[in-house]
Amino acid sequence: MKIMIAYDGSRNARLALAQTITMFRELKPQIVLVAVAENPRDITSGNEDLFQQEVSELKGYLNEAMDVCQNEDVGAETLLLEGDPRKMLLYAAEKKIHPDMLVIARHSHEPDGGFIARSLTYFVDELDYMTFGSVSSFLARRIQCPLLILPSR
Amino acid sequence: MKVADVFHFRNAEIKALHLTWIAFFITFYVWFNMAPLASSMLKSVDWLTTDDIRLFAICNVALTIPARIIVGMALDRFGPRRVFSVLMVLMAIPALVFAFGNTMTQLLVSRLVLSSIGASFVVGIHMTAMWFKPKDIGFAEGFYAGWGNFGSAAAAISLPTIALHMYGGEDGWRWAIAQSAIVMAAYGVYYWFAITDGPVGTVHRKPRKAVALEVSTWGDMVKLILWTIPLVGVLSILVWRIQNMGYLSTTGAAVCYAVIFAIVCYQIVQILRVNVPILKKGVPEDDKYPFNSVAALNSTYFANFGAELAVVSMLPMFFEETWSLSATAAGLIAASFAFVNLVARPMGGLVSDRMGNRRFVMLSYMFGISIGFALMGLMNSNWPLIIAVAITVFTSFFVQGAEGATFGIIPSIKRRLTGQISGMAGAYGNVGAVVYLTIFTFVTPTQFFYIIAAGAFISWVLCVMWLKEPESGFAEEYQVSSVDLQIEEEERRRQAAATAG
Repeated sequence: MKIMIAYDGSRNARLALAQTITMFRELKPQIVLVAVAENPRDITSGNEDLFQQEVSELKGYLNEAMDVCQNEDVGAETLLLEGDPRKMLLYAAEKKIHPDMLVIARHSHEPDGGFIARSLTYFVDELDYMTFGSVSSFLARRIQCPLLILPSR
Repeated sequence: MKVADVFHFRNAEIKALHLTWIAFFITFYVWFNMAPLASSMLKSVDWLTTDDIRLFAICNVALTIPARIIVGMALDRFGPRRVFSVLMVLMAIPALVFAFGNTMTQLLVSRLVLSSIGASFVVGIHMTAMWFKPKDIGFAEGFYAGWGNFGSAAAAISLPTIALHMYGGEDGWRWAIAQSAIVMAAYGVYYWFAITDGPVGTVHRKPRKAVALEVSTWGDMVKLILWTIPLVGVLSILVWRIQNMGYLSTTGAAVCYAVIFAIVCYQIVQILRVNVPILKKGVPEDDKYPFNSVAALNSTYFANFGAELAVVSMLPMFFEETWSLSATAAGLIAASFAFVNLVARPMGGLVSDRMGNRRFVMLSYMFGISIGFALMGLMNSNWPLIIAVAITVFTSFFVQGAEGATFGIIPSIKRRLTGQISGMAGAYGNVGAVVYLTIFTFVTPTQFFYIIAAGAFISWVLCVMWLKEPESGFAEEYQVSSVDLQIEEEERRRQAAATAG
């Protein structure tokens, strides 16, 4: 069983990896950890350093995740892509990895702060859902393999 | 980063963002402090004509492009904090000269020098880029640009009131302009002490010296040369117009033309020097990018930011004369155009990021601009004012959203060259303003709106033909191979052994 996990090193992604291993350990899964380095949407020339920094950070996260998998005795490989996370994850699943299941952790958008801050966040989130902005809703509509979305707590 | 984070003033980077957009806001306020006071100037200075005012409006956007080049060099050497402070203090001088100018030459020259202030956009963008993490930079820069551009609306809203009611009298407009200049100089001094270039401990790396944009094919190089000529060449229109109106002798004009021609030639030589060696070697397939996309975005910025600068310069007077309002009311109503900046520009970037298809977003916005300005062209004094305002807001919503969408696409064309591409597109905004305002000296406001609508439509056609949806990452993949992992594993073991031993 091949399981692809969208992994960005965040707390939610780490939880998702742990949960996946717990749930599917018996099936002897082969886990593919996919990270996407997003272009900084910066319009100055200072973005190259930032981008390289991001790439090396993601590499570090992927290595940590590999260690976790090795400690748990689960087969794993990693893949690092560059571009728009939504499109690249779709591309990786459809064109390269052909997993039996894709696991993504939904990002939590717990609005905090006062009334204005909350309504602003709600508005932007709503825009996200309307326009397939968030990674999970974008993939949910398009991906051709079983998709497991793990909510964050 | 969530939108709501902009209220967390205690965060260092949020504080820097606020300090910087306010600086940009003030520079924009001073940059457009003439338009809402134009009618007061005409009343109080008896030798001024409407044509002169229109000429000042062109001068007001003329030298921005050369200033951007100079400011770009200064940024690499001194960093954004010093450049921004110095720019604000220096530019207060021509603003004060303009405020108390009594001859045509004084007013014309000071306005021309003051147009350099438009380069402040570049400085603030660099400052913002130093403070934010890659994930947040897009939003932070959109926020900075939108809220800073709002300065022109603030000027239109407040300046007539300050001039007519606070100071009053013949010279009210002079004191109002002088006040904005003094506030700017004071803020420039404050900014010097209030902020640092990036978080404490940032190493200010010098970017690679780039004298011209790199291209991928010989054909693209020809296109680049063609698109570079108007950047400085557009100033010849201004020279021709000033001479035409009799404020410049034939000799003076000839000297100006020669200088402009020399600069354009120098730029072309630089392009050849950078690109001929690269192209002779041949550009690897995965490093190529389509210059057509850059050209399309130049045209969009010409048609949206250029239109915004031009319209902001003439709208107060248009409302005042068409609906025979008072200067204060006209300023308030005309400000509705730039007011939308607060939301529309950041939202343009947001929509471009969020929709699956940036090209579609750009096309929709450009189409909306053409429709909006066509509707504005239909407006006349028989229309109820409220409808006119609604149409103005509708149009500006598209204009500023398109600005955001333009800068939303730029980073994904060719990451390595983003700075230069955005510099070129940004300069095209000013080219647009000079061209439109020059046209404005020959036509009525109604015709002017139709011309802007046509400009936006042409840009839409160019986008349909040339703009490609950026495909990031399909060619470049970072495979973290097992060898890499092994090397790192050994490295870790060695370190562990070293600490244990």
